[in-house]
Amino acid sequence: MVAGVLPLLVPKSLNVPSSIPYASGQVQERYPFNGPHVDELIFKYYASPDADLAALQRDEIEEVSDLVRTMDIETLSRDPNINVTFNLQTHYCYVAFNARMDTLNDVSLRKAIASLIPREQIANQLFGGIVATPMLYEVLPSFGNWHNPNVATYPFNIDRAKQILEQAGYRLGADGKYLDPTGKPMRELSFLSPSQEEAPTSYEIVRIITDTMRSLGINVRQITVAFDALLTQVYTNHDFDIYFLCVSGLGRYPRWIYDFYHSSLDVPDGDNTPGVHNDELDKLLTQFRYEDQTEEQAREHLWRAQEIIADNVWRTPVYSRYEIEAIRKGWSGLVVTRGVGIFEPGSWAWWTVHKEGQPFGGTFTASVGGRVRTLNPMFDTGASDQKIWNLIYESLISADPDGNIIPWLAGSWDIQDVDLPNATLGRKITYHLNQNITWQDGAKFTSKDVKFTYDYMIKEQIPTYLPAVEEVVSVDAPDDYIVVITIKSRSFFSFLDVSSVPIVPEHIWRDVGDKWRTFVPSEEKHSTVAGLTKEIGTGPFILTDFKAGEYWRMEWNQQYFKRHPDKAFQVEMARATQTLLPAAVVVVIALVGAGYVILRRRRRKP
Amino acid sequence: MGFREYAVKRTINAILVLLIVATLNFFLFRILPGNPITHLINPSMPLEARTAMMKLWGLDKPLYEQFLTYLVNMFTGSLGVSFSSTKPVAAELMERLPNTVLLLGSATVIYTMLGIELGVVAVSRRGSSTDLATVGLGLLTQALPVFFLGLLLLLVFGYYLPIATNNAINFPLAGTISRPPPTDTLGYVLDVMWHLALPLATLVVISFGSYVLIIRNLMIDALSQDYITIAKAKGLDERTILYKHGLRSILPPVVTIVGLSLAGVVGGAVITETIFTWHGVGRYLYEAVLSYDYPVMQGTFFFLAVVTIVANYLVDLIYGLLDPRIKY
Repeated sequence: MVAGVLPLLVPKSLNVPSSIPYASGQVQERYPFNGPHVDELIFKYYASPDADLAALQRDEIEEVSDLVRTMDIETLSRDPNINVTFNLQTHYCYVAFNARMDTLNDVSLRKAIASLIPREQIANQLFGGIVATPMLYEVLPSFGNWHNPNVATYPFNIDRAKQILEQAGYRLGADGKYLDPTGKPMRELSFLSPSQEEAPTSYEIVRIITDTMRSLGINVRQITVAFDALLTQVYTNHDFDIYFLCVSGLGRYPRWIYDFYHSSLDVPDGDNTPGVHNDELDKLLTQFRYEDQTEEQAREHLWRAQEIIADNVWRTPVYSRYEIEAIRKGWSGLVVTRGVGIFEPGSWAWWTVHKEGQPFGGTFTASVGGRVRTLNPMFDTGASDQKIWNLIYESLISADPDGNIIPWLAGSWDIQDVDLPNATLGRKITYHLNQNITWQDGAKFTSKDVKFTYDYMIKEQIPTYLPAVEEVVSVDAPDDYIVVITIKSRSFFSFLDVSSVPIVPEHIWRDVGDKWRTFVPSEEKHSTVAGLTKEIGTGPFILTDFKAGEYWRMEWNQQYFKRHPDKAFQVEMARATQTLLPAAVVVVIALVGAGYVILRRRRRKP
Repeated sequence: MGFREYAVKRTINAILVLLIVATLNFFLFRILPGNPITHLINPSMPLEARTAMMKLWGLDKPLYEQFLTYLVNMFTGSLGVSFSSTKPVAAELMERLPNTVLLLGSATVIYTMLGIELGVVAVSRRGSSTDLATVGLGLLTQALPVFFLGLLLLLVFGYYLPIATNNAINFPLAGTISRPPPTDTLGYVLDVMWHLALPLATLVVISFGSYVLIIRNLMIDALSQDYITIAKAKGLDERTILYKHGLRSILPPVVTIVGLSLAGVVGGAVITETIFTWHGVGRYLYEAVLSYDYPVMQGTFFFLAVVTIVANYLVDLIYGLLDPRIKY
């Protein structure tokens, strides 16, 4: 959705953000991605959210992302100079059960507990009905048509919880606590939460849920542990009954479902913390993640997997937080990206934002959000780093704001199924690169750079891109603008993974070799172009100036292959004027001088 | 025991302390619950990527191997490579050290001088309203939590006043310089001083009180000594008695306190630097603790340990020079 001037989107009900259109369509026609419009971006770092907000109100910055405190949102909503926007994101908080443990290996008990979570109360009481929305689905609606709305849900209903327990043979004992189906008192369950000091909201949520459980007669105790200890207890040692945690940044596609529920990931530090072992689910998830060749097939299997997951309640969602952003008024061309928001990493507004009534030029200043750790694209350490290097490095393909795949560095591609040795099913993907792309230092972008990037990532076994490149069998560059990548998989996701790695310039990276771990391109001067560093990509913005821990200044890439034609025309005109003006002045002076001389000579003639 | 023997004994002592600190410095962080990898890689990355990241940073190796690598890094001065920034810790420390020394150094000089001066003034007017006011002020400011005062100053001078006066009174909300900074040298220096104002004021206000109280107490004791009575009998003026005879005699404990605060000058003020987004060693340490960046935590603490041990060592050695009564 390309928004004009954003209205003040304070939700009156919890359903307001669902009004954002997420429907897929012919995106190339709907989203003319030419940009950027502004001349310059400046990202500033503030060590606290309070300073971020004060800077926005003082007009030091134009935008702040990831607002989470109700009080801040209310304050900013009252500011006449600021718009606040709400968008569904790929974030949710959940309660998980350890299915390895006795008592909790009973699905009826899990269903009953899931029905005892007062999600509306939590959203309204703890988040003022503003920051979060109650959630009943594991695959959130923000995942678009990957979300299956027809699965079993467990809204808050104490009577239903009682009914589920009684049908499963649980009976209330004389002390008002439930006896298990064998007639023995149900053991005390432990419910882990972070401490009140560390995460007051999470602590309070668990307190509310455990109070409700106890009021029904389920023997449960809230146990608070330090956040990192909780992670170790849950992920490494699997030493828990029930816990509450949140996950965010789940990506464009719900591939994490495989990690969360496949039995192979029930290992120390694996994501299958509940200990799920279900053959049918394993089969569906393997098909979804590694075998399905089209998006439709993958979606079909994921929908079925969601039904099994919802029927078994190994985890139950509690709420999903909105991506809430505040933007100073007077800016236009803002694009809401599904599951992300407006100015988060990888969003489109950086391309299209411009001042109202001024389609091009100017400086957009934003908070970088958090600590920028490294601008080495071989690492993927956080949203703040990505916010910057996503504007520098690009991939062969991209996705539009609705999540649809669109051509990018590769203008098109052909996919051909091939049979590889040892009866392995494979695919040969032929990418046809756009021919008008240059690196930010002026060097020509060719297939050699693409081949180099993949070969380099394979040779150096870069952890961040390991899942993407480990299926690559070979990379060939038959000519300057064709790249052929053969992968040992026909999965839809393999194509996505392989095509989405950031491409780096061979002429910069070939000398880095195995020193990539400590190579920080932004810290090294470019060897041939003055004023540039080795942080060189093909993207719309060039990192021209920065001071670590303070600010990062990026100028628009005038050679960008998707630059806006009108902005390019303006630049060419300005450049031409700059070049021609002195010549024109010289010519005029010469003509006037010559005229003067001629006139004087004529007068002197008798 | 002569000075040489004493110096040798103190040197051995200092080396032993350093070795113990270095060992604790490694194992204490390993005892902390949690895993640095959860902070180093996008949480949506699959297990294989996380495992590869563990291997990359040597976290899959046995603890004794990690310890040996750590010792080599510490005692060769390289201090290792930061997990987060992927830059050498020593280089990052040196990048931030000037900012910290500027903030903490200037704060230490100002609050020490202010504390000494006010302490002497208070004792010279003992029992007067000036004395009461100075002691009261010292007690009050000393008791103020640094985060409270820092946030209060930021709120008043960085938020309310700029908005109320339409930026006529305007102090920076964050940073050591403007973003982007002025390009001319004078403008740059003035810009840094402008950014220095609030964190410096916070540290001075928080710290001068303890010096006032210490100096006042020490001076009360010193001024009751016989040599002060003799000085008064000789007809010396009050200023000479106070500064040349009284203050001089209490210098050894004052030098100890100042010497110990040297570690703070290079170690940074974690809370102040974090509140004011000051790009210094204190904030570096804070960020490292949050992200389980073992090399940075280890390197920074080791560096601080070295500075503290050396400062103590030097103070002990120069004690005798300041106070002729001390014999080794």
